[in-house]
Amino acid sequence: MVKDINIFVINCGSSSLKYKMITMPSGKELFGGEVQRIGSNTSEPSQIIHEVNGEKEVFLITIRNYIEAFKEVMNILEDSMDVMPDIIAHRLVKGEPVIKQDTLVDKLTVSSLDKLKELAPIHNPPIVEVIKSCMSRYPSLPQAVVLDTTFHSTIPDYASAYALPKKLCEDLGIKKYGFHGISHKYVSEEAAKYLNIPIESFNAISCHLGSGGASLCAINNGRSIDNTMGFTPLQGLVMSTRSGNLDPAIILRMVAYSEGNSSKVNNILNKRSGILGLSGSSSDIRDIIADAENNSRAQATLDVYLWRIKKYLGEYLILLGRTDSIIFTDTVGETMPLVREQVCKDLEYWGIKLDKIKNKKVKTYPSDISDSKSTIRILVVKTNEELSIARSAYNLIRLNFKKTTDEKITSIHT
Amino acid sequence: MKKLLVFIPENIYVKYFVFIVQIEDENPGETCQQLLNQGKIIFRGPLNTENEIKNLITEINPAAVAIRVLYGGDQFKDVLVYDKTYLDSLIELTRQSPLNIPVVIKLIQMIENIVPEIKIILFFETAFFVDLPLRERIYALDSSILNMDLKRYGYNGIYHKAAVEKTMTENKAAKKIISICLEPIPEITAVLNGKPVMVSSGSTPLEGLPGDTTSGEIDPGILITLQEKKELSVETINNILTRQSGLSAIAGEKVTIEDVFNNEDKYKIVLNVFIYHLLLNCGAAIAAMNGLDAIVFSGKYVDTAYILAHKLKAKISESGAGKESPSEHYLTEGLEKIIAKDYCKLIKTKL
Repeated sequence: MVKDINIFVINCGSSSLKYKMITMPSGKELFGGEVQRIGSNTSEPSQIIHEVNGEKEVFLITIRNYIEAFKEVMNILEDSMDVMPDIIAHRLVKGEPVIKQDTLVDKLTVSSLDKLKELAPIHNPPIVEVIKSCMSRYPSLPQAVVLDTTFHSTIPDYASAYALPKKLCEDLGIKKYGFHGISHKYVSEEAAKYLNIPIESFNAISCHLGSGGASLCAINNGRSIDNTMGFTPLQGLVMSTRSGNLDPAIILRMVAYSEGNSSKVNNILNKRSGILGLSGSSSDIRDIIADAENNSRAQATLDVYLWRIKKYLGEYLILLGRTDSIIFTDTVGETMPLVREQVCKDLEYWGIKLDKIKNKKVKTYPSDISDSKSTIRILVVKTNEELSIARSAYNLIRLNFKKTTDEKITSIHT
Repeated sequence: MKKLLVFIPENIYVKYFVFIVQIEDENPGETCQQLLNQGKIIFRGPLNTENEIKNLITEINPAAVAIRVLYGGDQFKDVLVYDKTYLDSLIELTRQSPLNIPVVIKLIQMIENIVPEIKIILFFETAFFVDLPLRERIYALDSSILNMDLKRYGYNGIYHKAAVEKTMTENKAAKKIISICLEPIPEITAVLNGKPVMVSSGSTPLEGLPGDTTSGEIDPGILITLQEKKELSVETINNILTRQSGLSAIAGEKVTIEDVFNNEDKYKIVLNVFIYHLLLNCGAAIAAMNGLDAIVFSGKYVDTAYILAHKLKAKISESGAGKESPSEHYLTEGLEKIIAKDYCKLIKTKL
């Protein structure tokens, strides 16, 4: 009989840290929570929402960075929980070329961990710091990293290639990798299940609209064929502090204006642009929505944010030919009816029609918010990247041990 | 009968064309004739260039001079009959268009020195896009940090405007039009009720579709990586993006859009990349208009559009929920002819 193991999943977003303790292989969630608004410029302070059996406890704590977030979460666990993890699994935003697939951390050197930071400068550094904190706090605890890019490995060459000199692309590994793959995969499988369509023939556009990062994914026959993010998570939609797409000439002008200081430009593009750059007041689209009615700059910010989503939606609708479903997920996608309504508005050309009442009354997930006459089902699906990560980490452990799963589990426990 | 001299300044040279216009004709735009004497004047230096311009004007003796201007910012929203009061406004545009505007200004000054009374008419590529909706026009950047005017303008406005007018004449029901300009730096725009609502180019023509040698849209993070990992200067990266990228980079040899369409088997991958990006932009354009009545093609490589139209329409129809296939149109005239015709309209209505 296979012995259960407890996998503690840590999912660092661009402004949050989500965590869950999941028992595998059953997938049962023991507890979880989220550290919100880590060190970001928003109207509300940082907080930890810890949840056990549906009961929430909120800790209002000033949290400046991810190491502090990790420490506070582990303190809560050690003080109040009687279950500690057998393994910690992390979502890694980008691993190539250092890591090409999901892997156990003990197979990585410290220098290779440091190299990971450069691959996704806004996401990977906190993950690497949390991994290192974990190593020093729990030296005997195994850790795994699960890549966010694996789902996008099916993007065809003509879609992943940039029109740049081949040698440069080969030297620097420049191509579209795509991101949020763990979430896009999870919600598309859930949506296919809900609509009773085999995943192998399911066509969908997944809109992962987070409070930090956001991307759309075109899914053809259950496989990713394009993602709005690219070589880095900077490309694509307008995000909380990331610019999304820009004219390349603008970046060159910015570098010239900064007298060649590209790290300063990188910082502006990743941390001071997007919703924050446009609004000048908040990086959180929820704040912008609240202000939009009485503040023309907030309204303009919201318009640009929604417009970019809509244009990409059009791109992928054409690309797919036949689309079964549009899926909204993650913090903004799941909780902001106005965003869903505005994105789906005026798309009758494709037979898209949202039911405004259903859209406002989403209480359970998955939820169908499309009008009965809509030719494309519009769904709100709660993402569960942590469960997806736990599944991948569990499979990784099984694959990494040549012996039986029982023996492996035993070895972890010892 | 009058002669019109059309100048199209590029970065280091100026192309010129001569037209004979019968002003008394009811529709001089249709009857104006292009003369064979056309060519290039290299901007080697003010003295030589001025002599060449002087010789040209003396030989042609035009009634008016038309100049195509790449960038007009927010100030120039229409065709402009130039006088000295506009000079300061033009000079202000130099920062945004440092290669084109100085050549235009120099050209104007030379012409004024030679024939002070001649009418000079400026045709701005960006004028067509000047009222783009704000949501399409602005980037998600903090302009107070950057202290720069960074907006999306669009760059083949003269072609698009003429192409859309032709389409609306040929298909009077067409309200939602995609205009695809197949120039070496191609561009697509969505035009709703005669007004552009989306365009692939950005604050410069580099953004958007890949061109003969231009990269088109790329991840902004790539440029930072190029600078940091390869330690390349801004000038070098600019040279890579504008002269060593695009379809030529994918082909591994210097090619044009026309070459790729004429040798589909040889350049299959290149063609796939180009059509893929064009298709995505068509999707964005349809989303911007909630529909599509017509597609119109124009530009230097318009002959390739007959193949392209078939491929695009097939894919668009697949996703259109049973909608009628859009009508297709072709504007085969060159930029200089379009400018000459616009000049004819101008003299009939305003001059």
